[in-house]
Amino acid sequence: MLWLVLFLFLFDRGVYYLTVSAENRFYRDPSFAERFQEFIKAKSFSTLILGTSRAFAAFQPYSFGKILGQEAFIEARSGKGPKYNWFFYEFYRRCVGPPKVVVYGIDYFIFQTESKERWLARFDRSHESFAPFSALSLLLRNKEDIEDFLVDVIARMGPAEDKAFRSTQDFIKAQDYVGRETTPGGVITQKPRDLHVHQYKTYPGKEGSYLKRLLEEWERDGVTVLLIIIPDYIGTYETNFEQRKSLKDLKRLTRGYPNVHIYNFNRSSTFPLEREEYFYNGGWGKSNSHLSKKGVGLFNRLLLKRIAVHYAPANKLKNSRRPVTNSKRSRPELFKPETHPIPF
Amino acid sequence: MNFVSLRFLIFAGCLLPLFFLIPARWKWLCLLAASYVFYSFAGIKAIVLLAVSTFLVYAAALGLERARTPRMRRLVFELGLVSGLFGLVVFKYTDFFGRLCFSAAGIFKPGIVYKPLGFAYVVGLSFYTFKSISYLVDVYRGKMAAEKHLGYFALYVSFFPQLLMGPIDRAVRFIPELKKRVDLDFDRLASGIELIAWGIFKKIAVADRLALFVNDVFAQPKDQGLYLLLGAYIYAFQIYCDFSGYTDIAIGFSRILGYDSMENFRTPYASRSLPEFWSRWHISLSTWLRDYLFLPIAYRVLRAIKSPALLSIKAEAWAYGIGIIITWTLGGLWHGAAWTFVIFGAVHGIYLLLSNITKKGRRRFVRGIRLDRLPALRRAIQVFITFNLVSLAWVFFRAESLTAALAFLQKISRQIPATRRGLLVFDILLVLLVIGLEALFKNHARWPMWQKLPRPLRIAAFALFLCLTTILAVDANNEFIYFNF
Repeated sequence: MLWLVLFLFLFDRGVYYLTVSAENRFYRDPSFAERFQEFIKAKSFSTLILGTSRAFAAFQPYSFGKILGQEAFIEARSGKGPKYNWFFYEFYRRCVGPPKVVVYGIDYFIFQTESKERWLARFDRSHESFAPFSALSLLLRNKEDIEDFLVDVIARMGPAEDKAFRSTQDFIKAQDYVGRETTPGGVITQKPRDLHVHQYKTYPGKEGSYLKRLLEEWERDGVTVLLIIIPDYIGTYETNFEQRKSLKDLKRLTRGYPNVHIYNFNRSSTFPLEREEYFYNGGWGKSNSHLSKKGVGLFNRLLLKRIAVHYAPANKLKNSRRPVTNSKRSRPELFKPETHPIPF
Repeated sequence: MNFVSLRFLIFAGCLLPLFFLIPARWKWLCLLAASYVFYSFAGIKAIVLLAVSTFLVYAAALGLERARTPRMRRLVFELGLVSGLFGLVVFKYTDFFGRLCFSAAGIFKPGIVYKPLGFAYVVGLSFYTFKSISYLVDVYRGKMAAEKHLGYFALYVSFFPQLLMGPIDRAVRFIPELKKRVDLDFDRLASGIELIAWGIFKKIAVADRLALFVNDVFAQPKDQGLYLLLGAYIYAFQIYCDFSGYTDIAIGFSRILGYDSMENFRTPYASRSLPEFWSRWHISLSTWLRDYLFLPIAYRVLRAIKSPALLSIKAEAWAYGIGIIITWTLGGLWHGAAWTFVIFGAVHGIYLLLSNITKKGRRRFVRGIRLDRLPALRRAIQVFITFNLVSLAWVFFRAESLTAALAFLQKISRQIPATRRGLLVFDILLVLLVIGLEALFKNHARWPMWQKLPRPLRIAAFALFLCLTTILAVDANNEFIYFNF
């Protein structure tokens, strides 16, 4: 038994280390960028969607195509904070140039979010890390990531026709996602007696400086930036009690960037936050909630109607409400560039 | 309760120490209680049905021994059969036969429509019913004495490793097995764990992964060309890994408890003929069908044909033909109340019949083209043909309807679709891996090199195998296919 435990421990670490090494090599391979380029160019994407899992659950590239006639490329997932977004944008720009519009999903916890080292390691070797004692089984703990990598490897095994980037996990899943059904008990609708509220972490927080960098770059590249505050279920909204503070913080950060527009859908006047069927999780005491299949349909219809104006003149809609737009005045702090090696 | 779940892990973790700690005379009670707890996850209806069916068959068997006249014996036997089969017929076949009767009635009175009663199927019902029936028939035939101890009989019927998907073990062998004294044996524990690990690997790392390709192909057969044929081949391996994976877990768990369950699979796709296939695939079912359905029907036909031949065909041939077609059509129906399963069974019946009829002709043909001088090539051709015939029948088994199955077969072409080739290549590699590992796993006792390996090295190989399972496992929480039957 002791031998089995010992070998399991050793092989779990060993196999995990090999998997991670293979994964890093796989994604840093130049052919990865080539495939990516091929895929992006074939579809002529005008919009890049960035954010965390909430953005993944909220924005439907399909609706962008259907309602606006615009191809949208989404790169949003849990553990993909501003730092990852910055790396990814650099990669995207290097491959296919800047998009016309960036849609960025804003969360209450945006300055609290830390990008996953595993994601960052795809772009920067300095993020390669291996903590052998961080879990009882590294293989089990990272099963989802390993599965994603395996799916990518399987896709890569296909010949020329499969070369299109769509088969790569991050993107195929995101591009085809239509929303998750609400499950009973998924959303906590009863306010508990001892409600643990969540404080807002102010800018710069953990990775706020990277959001600032992105804003600088987008301005330089002439990209229209739409910062969308994604709706939360009313219970979550109340739990995150410093909503005003967070909005103020965001406005202060984006002041002086005329290309940045903020759309706040996290209020009852813009989205029915009290309807639990529009969410599949979250609720009272929870720091975030995700839109359900039903919610995402409504949200995309509301959102796209309002942001259509940014795709003018082709899709100019009459009577579009103007968002909060910044003028180029009193920029608070200037970004100090740092050097980060991009392996492409 | 699914074997591959955290719930079962907790269940097993609680049961095993308790089972080995309590005195030998109470072990049956411990296992019986555990089996009912295990089955309670299927719902209260399932528990009640199991308990009632068990008691009625137990009482009927005792009644058989007490019946004084053959007529009385026959009556008790028939009552026992009816009570044993009642649950199965009502909960599995009411709607199927209801629709059938109303369709027939519709010929005379058009517009008549059957309203389904919608009884939910009870998982494991087909398996424990067959166990009860085999026991009752064996007592009736005098092969064994009726079990006096209700507890042991109830444990035989409900023994949880076999309850949901078999093997359909016979009472004549398994009740004495349950009565033997069992103690914790570390060799049995180790080999049981190995078997469970192998079963889990086959289920979650192979069957569930192959399902990704198979489900796609069967859901959208349009423009799939050659993928349809390959999908049918891969499905053959998916269902094998799924079902034999479950059986391995069941046998492994029984082994840990100290009991030997009967074997259910013996590398079936290496069979050289259809009869050989059925002696290697779901052995407990095929032998059940042979003993309790085919042989009685064949003997009855033989008795009915009084002359040595009828229409210039030997009476034995009539007996075999009628027996085999009825047996396999009913065997197909046992898998599910749908025409696809009936056709699946009938196709296998026809295969077996043709196999029997053409036996001599085939032998002559082989000799004629001198293939008998190349036994390896002959064997390869036989295995290839058998595998293709079996895969063809699986299409009916897997398809949603008869129309879908026929459309699937019609759409097979030489066209190779451009997408999902990676997944296909990966699945083929996975199938080759499982064939290789199975050969290694089943035959490792024969390999002196393996036997000579120091124990730590063998443990290391096992640990590496567990890591491989973790990497390849699909986190889909898929149920076993045979849970539906």
